Amino acid sequence: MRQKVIFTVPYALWILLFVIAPLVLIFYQSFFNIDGQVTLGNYATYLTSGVYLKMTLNSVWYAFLITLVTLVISYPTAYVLNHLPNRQFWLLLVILPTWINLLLKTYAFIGLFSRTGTVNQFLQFVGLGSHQLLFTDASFMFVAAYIEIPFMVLPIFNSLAEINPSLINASKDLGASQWQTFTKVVWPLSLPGVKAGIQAVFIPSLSLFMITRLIGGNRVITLGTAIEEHFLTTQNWGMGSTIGVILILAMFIVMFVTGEGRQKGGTALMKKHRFTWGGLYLALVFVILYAPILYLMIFSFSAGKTMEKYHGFSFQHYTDLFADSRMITIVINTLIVALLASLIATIIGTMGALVIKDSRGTWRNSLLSLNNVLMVSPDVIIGASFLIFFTVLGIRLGFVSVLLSHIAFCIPIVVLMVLPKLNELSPTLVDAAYDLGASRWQTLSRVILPAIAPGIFAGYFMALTYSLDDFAVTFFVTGNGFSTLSVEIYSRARQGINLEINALSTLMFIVSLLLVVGYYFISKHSGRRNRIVAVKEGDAQ
Amino acid sequence: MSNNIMEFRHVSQQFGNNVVLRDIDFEIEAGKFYTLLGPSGSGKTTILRLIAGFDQPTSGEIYFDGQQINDVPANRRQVNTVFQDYALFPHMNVAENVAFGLQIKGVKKAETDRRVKEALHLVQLDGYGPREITAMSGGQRQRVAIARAIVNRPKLLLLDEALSALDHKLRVEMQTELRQLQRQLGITFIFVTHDQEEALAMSDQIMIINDGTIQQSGTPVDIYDEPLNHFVADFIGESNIVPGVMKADYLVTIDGQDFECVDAGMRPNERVEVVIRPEDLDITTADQGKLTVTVDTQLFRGVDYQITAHDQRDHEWKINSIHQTTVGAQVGLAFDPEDIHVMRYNESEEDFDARLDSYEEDD
Ligand SMILES: Nc1ncnc2c1ncn2[C@@H]1O[C@H](COP(=O)(O)OP(=O)(O)O)[C@@H](O)[C@H]1O
Ligand SMILES: [Mg+2]
Repeated sequence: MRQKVIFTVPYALWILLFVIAPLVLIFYQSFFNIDGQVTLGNYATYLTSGVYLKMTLNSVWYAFLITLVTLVISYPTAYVLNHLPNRQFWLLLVILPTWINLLLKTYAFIGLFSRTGTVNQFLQFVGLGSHQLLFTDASFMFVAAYIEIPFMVLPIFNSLAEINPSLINASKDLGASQWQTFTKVVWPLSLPGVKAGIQAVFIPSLSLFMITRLIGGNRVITLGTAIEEHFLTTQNWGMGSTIGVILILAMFIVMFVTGEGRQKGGTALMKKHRFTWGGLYLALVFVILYAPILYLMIFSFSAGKTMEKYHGFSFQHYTDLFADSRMITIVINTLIVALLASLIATIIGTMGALVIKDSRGTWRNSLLSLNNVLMVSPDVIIGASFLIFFTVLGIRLGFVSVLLSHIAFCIPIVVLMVLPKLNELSPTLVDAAYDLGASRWQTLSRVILPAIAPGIFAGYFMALTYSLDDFAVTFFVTGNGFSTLSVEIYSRARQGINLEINALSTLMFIVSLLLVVGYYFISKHSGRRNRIVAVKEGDAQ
Repeated sequence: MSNNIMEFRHVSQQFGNNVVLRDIDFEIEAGKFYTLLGPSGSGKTTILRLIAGFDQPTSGEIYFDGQQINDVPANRRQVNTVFQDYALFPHMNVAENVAFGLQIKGVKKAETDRRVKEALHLVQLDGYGPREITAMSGGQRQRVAIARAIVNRPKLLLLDEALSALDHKLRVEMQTELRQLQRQLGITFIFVTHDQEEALAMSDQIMIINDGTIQQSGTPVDIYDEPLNHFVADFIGESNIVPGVMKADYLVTIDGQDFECVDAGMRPNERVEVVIRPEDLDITTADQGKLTVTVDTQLFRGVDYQITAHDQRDHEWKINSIHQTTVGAQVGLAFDPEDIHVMRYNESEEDFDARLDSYEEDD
């Protein structure tokens, strides 16, 4: 009983303070005007002034287009991937770019799309002339789709992989052609993945503001940019919150329409097919996914000052980077926040998973829904509502507010990584521990925790990457004195190309790669530990 | 009372509105091999969970060694369980799994090692200590689960469908081994199964459970030869069950034909059910048999032929015979008075036992 209380309190506090309170606050704030008076004026303005309605429609339209483009590219990708030998490896390659800081990928496109950038040089070379690419709707959508592709591929891939190969054989056996098999069997069975993908792409696309600002310039105005402007520039929090409430409503509608997305790894049998066209298509997708990253890396070694023309090999930008004490401080800050936040989130999140595992029925479902609120909320909403929350509590913006925010949005990630491991754990395993005389704490420390350790580890790791990658939430809750890498890159990128950033992104890419490799090594190693010991003991006998 | 290690008194268990156990009463004598036998869903696991202490009964008392233990948690009962899915800890190797209970008790390292080795020896897994659980076959895992339980020297060992996951050959082997192990250790075993052959082969005592109540308990021979009711007769072994009337003591009428039998103690002309086991029926010529039947089907099963036939009143008869017959032939069925067993409708186990005692004393 005591154990249960000890676990419930931190997790419940998190739900209360960082899930419910901010949502309530943003709703509450939407009834205040800029002078602090209670009013329905914000809603009236929203509904009557055409500007806001048009902006909302605009956002929905952009989000729709981005989602559509992403889906059209991702479905065939997932389909072809699924038929490859070693498909898990290729999937990893699709996911790898998500490990590169979002800001850096966006930044790469500033170079690629600029007036005299590489793409325009190419267009001129083939005789199509140079065009204004940056700050257009098309480039905005292209970059957004580029960023979102892996998030669409993953759930579709998983649902395709789950399809039992016998079903496909059965369909062919019953006389269906390849195409009929696809439309009548494969497509309907992969719909859960498609829905999960749409959910994962549409909602963030509604509220993009970083890509909008950097690539779309001030031409594209979305709900995201509007919220950012009202909170951080015009300081009209009431109107900002009103738009936030609209965005939350839109989010619920999307979730309702697409239903609960499932994400689960599959273990269907591998098939060895040769898809020449498929292979070509896949190669193209990989080129698109990796080109911007390589592009950044190549120019980090250029002696020049721009990403237009390569000026010969040089380590100049790396030397500049290491001499840039502001940047070094920020890197250290970012690391400290990420390490601390994911550690604390892992502890609270694991407790949360244990609490959810022990709960039943509607109570369990409510806990799960509350847990997932921060996972599905657009970053701007989290950022804006946390900003209100910290201001109300009188917490100064800076290290503490950033750390608390990162802990808050990392907790549900840990829960979602740990909970499946707990569910996999046979209930008789726990009974067996009691049966053999273990107390509750002994059962927890000797049986449950070791058995779910891979989940806890993965949770910590995911939390770490989310924290390192976060831009939007931090952007809202960081004051003037404190900055993280993403925020810093954003402000530098808004001032134009700076090859020091290229050097930084090369280093970060290498670190990300090492982390991935390390993650795979450790997760394999943890399973093998006993075996190594076993061999040694066996030798001794 | 003296030798009873475990006792249930009026134990009932209810999950929500679902009554799973009704008024269960039994006593377990120390040192014996008990089997709880019943179809799936009858409440066997529920009983084991109450004994182990994973659940508390809705009503009734559970005694262990004369002490009421309703509120004693599982980790403080001298009972160990071999789980149906083995429940081996996946993050520990074989030796670590077996040592778990001893480590929890704080037994010294040297002694732990010695006892783990001994336990692994008992289940014929010498030298397997350092192996990973994943590197063990189903039968080996089964043995590890048993070793992990017996190493704690429990007074009572519970085995829930312990052999059900094994293939037939291995299962039969393990039945013999388990029985030997129980004799060797002198620990009381309560073994749960839905397989009647397994129950008959292994047990000192069988408790037959259906729908949350104990139908009959006794030795395998008693239960096989003298089933209390239709359910038991049908569940244990194969049987021909036909309605009849008890004309007088030792005389039963089936379809107007009188047969001598060895049952007594019923009201005159009481309606009863008559059981004859298929292997007790012998096939002879039509004129020599007590019953005349027509053969419908015949299946060769290796040891014998399984034959079905029908009599003039269209009652179906199952016959197991080592001799072949011909489908469509008219044959006679011969049997002795001892081959007939008469069951009364709705007789309780106490009444049944009392009645049997009354006339068996007379003999
Ligand atoms: N925790 C529980 N909650 C609700 N019903 C249960 C629970 N445990 C068992 N039951 C029900 O009790 C009945 C008996 O179950 P069980 O003891 O597992 O049967 P057996 O082991 O004989 O197959 C089943 O109908 C089962 O659905
Ligand atoms: Mg059971």
